[in-house]
Amino acid sequence: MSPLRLVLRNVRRNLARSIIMGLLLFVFMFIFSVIAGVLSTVGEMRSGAEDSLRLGVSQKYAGAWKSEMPNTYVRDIAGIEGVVAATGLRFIGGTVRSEDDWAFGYAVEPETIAEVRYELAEPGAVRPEQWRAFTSKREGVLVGFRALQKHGWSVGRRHTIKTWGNLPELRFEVVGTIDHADFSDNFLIHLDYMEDLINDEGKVEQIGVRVASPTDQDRVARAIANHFQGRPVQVVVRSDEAFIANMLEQMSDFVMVFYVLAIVIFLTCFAMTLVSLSMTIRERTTEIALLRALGFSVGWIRRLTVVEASVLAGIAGTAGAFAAQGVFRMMNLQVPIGFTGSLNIPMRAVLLCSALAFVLGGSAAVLSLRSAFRAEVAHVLRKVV
Amino acid sequence: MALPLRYNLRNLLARRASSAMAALGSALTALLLVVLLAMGEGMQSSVVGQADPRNVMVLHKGAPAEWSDITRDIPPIVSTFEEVAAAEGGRSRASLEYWNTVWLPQDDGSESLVVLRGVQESAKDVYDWFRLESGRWPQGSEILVGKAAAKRLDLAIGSSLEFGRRRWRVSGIFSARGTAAESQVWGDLDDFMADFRRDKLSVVALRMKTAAGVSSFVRRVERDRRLADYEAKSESEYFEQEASFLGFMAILAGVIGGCMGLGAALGGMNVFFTSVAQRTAEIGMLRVLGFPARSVLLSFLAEALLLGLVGGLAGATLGLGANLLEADIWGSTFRFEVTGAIYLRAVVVGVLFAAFGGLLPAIRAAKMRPIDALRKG
Repeated sequence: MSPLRLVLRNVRRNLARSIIMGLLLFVFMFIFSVIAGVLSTVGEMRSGAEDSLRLGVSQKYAGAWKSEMPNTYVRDIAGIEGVVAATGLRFIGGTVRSEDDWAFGYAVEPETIAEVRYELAEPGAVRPEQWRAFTSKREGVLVGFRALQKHGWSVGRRHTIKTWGNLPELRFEVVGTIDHADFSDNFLIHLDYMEDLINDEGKVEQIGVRVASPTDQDRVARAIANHFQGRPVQVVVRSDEAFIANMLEQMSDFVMVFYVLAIVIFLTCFAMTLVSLSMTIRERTTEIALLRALGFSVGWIRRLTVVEASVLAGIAGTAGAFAAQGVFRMMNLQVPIGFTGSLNIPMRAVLLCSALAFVLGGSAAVLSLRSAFRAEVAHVLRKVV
Repeated sequence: MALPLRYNLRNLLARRASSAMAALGSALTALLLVVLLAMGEGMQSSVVGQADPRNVMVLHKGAPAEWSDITRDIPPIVSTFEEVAAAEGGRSRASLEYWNTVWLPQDDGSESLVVLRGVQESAKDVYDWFRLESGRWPQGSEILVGKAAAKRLDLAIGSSLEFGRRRWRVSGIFSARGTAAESQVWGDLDDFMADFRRDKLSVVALRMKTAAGVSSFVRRVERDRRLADYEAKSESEYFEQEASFLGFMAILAGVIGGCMGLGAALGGMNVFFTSVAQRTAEIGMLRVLGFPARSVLLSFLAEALLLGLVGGLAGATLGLGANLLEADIWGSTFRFEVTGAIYLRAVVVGVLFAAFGGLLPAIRAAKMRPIDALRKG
C-alpha cells in the first residue's frame, strides 16, 4: 500500500478525532492570524517609513494635533534647495450616516499632492481617468476603497459629511477610488474647495515635502527649519521615519501585549496539538509495533506519521488563516489608534500561519512518536495476542 | 442512581497527564481573558474615573477639549447660571482651562506625547480628585506634574522640562486617584496661553450644586442664544466618549477569548473521547450494574466541569498578577485592574468551554449499549 493511501486511511479510520484536530488547528490559526495581522500592520508601517523620501513640516510651539501655518510657506519651501516638491494639506473629519460613522480625510492641493504622496501615482492606485476627474472637478473627491464601502458611498454620486464644530456641511461628488493601503480609510478633497465651504482661507496644517533621496532628509530638514527661524510662525520638520517611530513608541506597550498573546496562543496550540496526537498515537501503538515486526524501519514509520500530522494540521491551519483574513476584510474593523486604519491580515501573515501549522503538526508528531518507539515490539504484540 | 464524585476524581488522577492538558487549556483561556479584560478595565477607569457626576464641561460644539475654542466672554455667562455651586467667598466653582498635547523630546532622540493643561487655582474647587502630593502651586514658568507623568518622564521637584517657547521648572507633584489626569502636566493658565500664543480657552469646567442640576444646566446652555456655538456635557458623558475606543478592546477580548476557549474545548474533547474509548469496558460494567445512561453522561460531564473549574480557577488566579502591570499608551499611564467580575467571568468561561468539550464524549459514552461496550472492551 502506498504511504499516501495509508495516510488517508488513517485519517478516515478515526474521522471524529481527525475532524477535532483539524478544527483545533483551524481555530488556533484563525486567532493567531489576527494577532499576526496586528503585528504585521505595525511592522509594515515601520518598514514603509524607513526608505521614505518624505518630510513633514508642522508649526513649532503648537500642539501635537494643532498646527497652523500660512499657505505661502508651501511655495517658500518648494524653493529651498534639495526640495523636489512641496504640498500643503489640512485634516478634515465628520460624521456620515450616524454619530458613530466617522469619516476622515485630507484637504489637498491636487496639482502637487501626488508628487509628495507618490503612492497615489503608483500603477493601480487611482485609475488615470478618475485622477483626471479629481484634478479637474473642484468638488470632486477620491475615496479609499475601505472608506467607500464603510460609508456606503459610490463613484459618480454626491454625498455629505457633517463636520465637527459649527462648520457647514461638506458636500462633494465621489469621482474615483484609491486602491492603496495608505489611503484605504480616508478621502481626498480639494483644499481650496474646502476653504470656501468653511470660509477659512490661507492656512495649511501640514506641509509634505519630497526630497531626492533618503540621505538628503537631515540636510533639507535643517534648511527648512532655518529658513523660517525668527518668523512669527516657526516650523518643526520630521521625517516620515521619525514620525512613525514616535507614534509607534506611544503604543509600544500595547504592541508588547500582542507579542505576549501571540506566544501564549502558540504554546497553547502546540500543547493541544501534542496531546491530540499523543492520544492518536497511543491508540496506534499496536499498529506501529506490527509495522516494525513486518520490517518497516523506524524512519519510514516516522515519516508516514509526520506527513499525516503535517498535512492535516497544515490544511486546517491554512483554512483558519484564510478564514481570518476573509472575516476581517468583511468586518472592516477599524483599529482605534487613529493612523493605522483598518485591521488587515496581509497574505504574508496568512502564509506564515500556514507554514507554522505544518511545522506544528510535524513536530508534535515527532514528539508523540518517541513513546511509541520506546515500547518493545515483542512486548506490545504479546499484549494483542 | 448517580455515580459518586470520588469515582470521577480517581479517574482524573489516574490519567494525570491528559487531565492536566485539558485543564491547561481552560487555564490559559481564563488567563488571557483576565489579562485582556483587566487592560480594558484599567484604561476605562483611568479615563472615566476622572468624571464627577456633579461636573459639567462647556466646549465648542462637537469638538474635543484640545480642539475646542471658547472666547473669554463665555465663562462669566455660564458661571452665573443658578445650577452652579459656589465656593468659599461666594465665587462660582468654575475652572477655566487650556488643553494641549505636545511632543516632548526624550534623551534617546525620540519624542513622547504629553497632555498639557493650563489651569487656575480655582481648579481645586471643581476637581475633588486633585491632591498636591508635594511642592506648591506653580508660579511664572513653573509646572505641576502628575505622579504618572513624573515617573514616565523622570521628573522631580526642581527638575525642568522644555516645551513651547521656554524651560519650565517643576514646582510640585500631584495625584488624581490613579486616573489619566496623573499623566498630565499642569501650569498656570495665562502662562500656557501666552506661551502657545492662544487667546481662546479650551474648556470651562463647572461644579453643579447637585448631580440633578447637570441636565438642567445642559438644557440652559442649549437654549441660551449667546451660547449657540457651544455645548455643555456632563463629565461622565465626555469621558465615556473619550473612552469609546475601548469598544475595540471588548471586541478583541471577545474574539481572542472565544477562539482560545473553543480551541481549548476541542483539545479537551479529544482527551475525553480517548478517555471514553479507554473506558469502554468500564462503562459497560457500570451499565450492567444498573447505572442509567444519564448517570454515565453526568459522570463524564462532571469530569469535564471539574477540569474546567480547576483550570479556570488556576488561570484566573494567575491572572491576578496583572494587577501589578502598568502600561503607557498615547501619553497616558494606566494600571491593569482585575475586578471581581472579571475574575468570575474568566472562571465561568473556562468552565463553560470545558463543559462544551466534555459534552459530545459524554453523550457517546451514555449512548453505548452495555453488551456492546463489554464486548468491545
